[in-house]
Amino acid sequence: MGKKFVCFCEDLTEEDVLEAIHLGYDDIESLKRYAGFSTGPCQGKTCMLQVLRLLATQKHLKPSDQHLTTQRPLLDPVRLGVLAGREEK
Amino acid sequence: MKVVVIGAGILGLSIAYNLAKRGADVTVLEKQYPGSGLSVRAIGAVHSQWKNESDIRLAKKNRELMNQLSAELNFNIPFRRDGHLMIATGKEQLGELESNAKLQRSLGVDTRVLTPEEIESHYPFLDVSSIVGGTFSKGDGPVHPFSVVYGFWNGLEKHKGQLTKPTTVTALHAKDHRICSAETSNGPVEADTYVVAAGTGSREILRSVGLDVPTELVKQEMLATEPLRFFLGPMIQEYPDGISFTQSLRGEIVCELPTTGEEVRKDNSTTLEFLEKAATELIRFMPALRDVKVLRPWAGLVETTRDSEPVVGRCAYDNFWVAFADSGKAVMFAPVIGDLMAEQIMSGKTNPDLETYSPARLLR
Repeated sequence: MGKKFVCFCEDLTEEDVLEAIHLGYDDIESLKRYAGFSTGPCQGKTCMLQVLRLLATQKHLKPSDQHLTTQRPLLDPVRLGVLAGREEK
Repeated sequence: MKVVVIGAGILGLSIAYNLAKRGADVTVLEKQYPGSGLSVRAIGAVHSQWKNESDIRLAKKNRELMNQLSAELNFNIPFRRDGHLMIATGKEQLGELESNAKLQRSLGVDTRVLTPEEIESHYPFLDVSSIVGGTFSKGDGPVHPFSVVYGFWNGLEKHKGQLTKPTTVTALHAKDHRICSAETSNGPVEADTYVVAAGTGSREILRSVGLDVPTELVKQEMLATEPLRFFLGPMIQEYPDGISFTQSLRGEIVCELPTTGEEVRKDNSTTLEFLEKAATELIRFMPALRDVKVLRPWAGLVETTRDSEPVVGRCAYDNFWVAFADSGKAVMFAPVIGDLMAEQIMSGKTNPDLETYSPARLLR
């Protein structure tokens, strides 16, 4: 069987996430910081629910019993030049 | 000796690890997750370019400890000794940097004063047109803060210490000049010695035993860009409190800036003002970043004191120790504070290197 990717931005497979959970990074915040999902260009849009599902299965919880990591702007990546624009005028 | 450490931030975990290493029976109580305050929000500057003797001495010892930390903890801690470059954009700031450098050199730190031309020749991607000079120390450099937090956590467990999460400490109880128990969300906990390293939650815990230390909260905001091929080795900081920026080993440009003003909400929210200011500052010093995209901003609260020094040491009761209000120094001083605090707690004798930071100077 091929690899099961949960996070394309940071090249994380299901196996990587399970290993991190077994090492003790078993809350969503620590898991994010140890494994690195949700820190790439998608900012969690593709990986967060996959990881929550894995975490819930491992801890015998419902996915709905867990929280997401803090959702922040920007919705999509924005160029520094655009952000600096208003100040520059 | 049984010790309870309240708070699994970078300071609490460093103290806990160093105590467990010396044979203490250590339990760390954490109300959220390890590093959940500012520790995992920092961008990881480690430098020794301070203006007073005690900070310089501590920083010098700290960077040696930081350098050995991967080996000691058997955990990958990328402390990159690519240096820390302080840049000045005004004559007055440059004068301060020069006199700081003189003091640093007299204490054995390898700080050099650089002209704008030298800065440009080392780092051709910097636009030095607004820079009048700077100082640089090669033994400084960025560290990856999560790895320090997780390294100490790992080391603590190897020495049979334990981390209990989530557990909230609601109050301490004192009797006959000693702390006798901690009240927690999981019932009372008793130990011989108590350490509070609970970041911005520390003051409330101290108040439960009639102690208070005045502090102030400063909002700090950070951002990370999309990853680029690695080119930016050192941490660069506009002295004294302008932008700090570097590149992470994954290639993101990361930076931080304090957000000031009366309207600022003292919480972990992100502001558009920060994004605009940080973008402007980054482009000012590195015009080529104009077309690089920001992936994510984030924010944290730095707790400071009136002398901008951390509160570290024995606190009013015989068996009570604290380490908080780090004034932005927790990540860069965690190894040395953990080491010296553990030594003090085990021996009961105070270390002269930590005297400057004693809670006694601020207690009311």
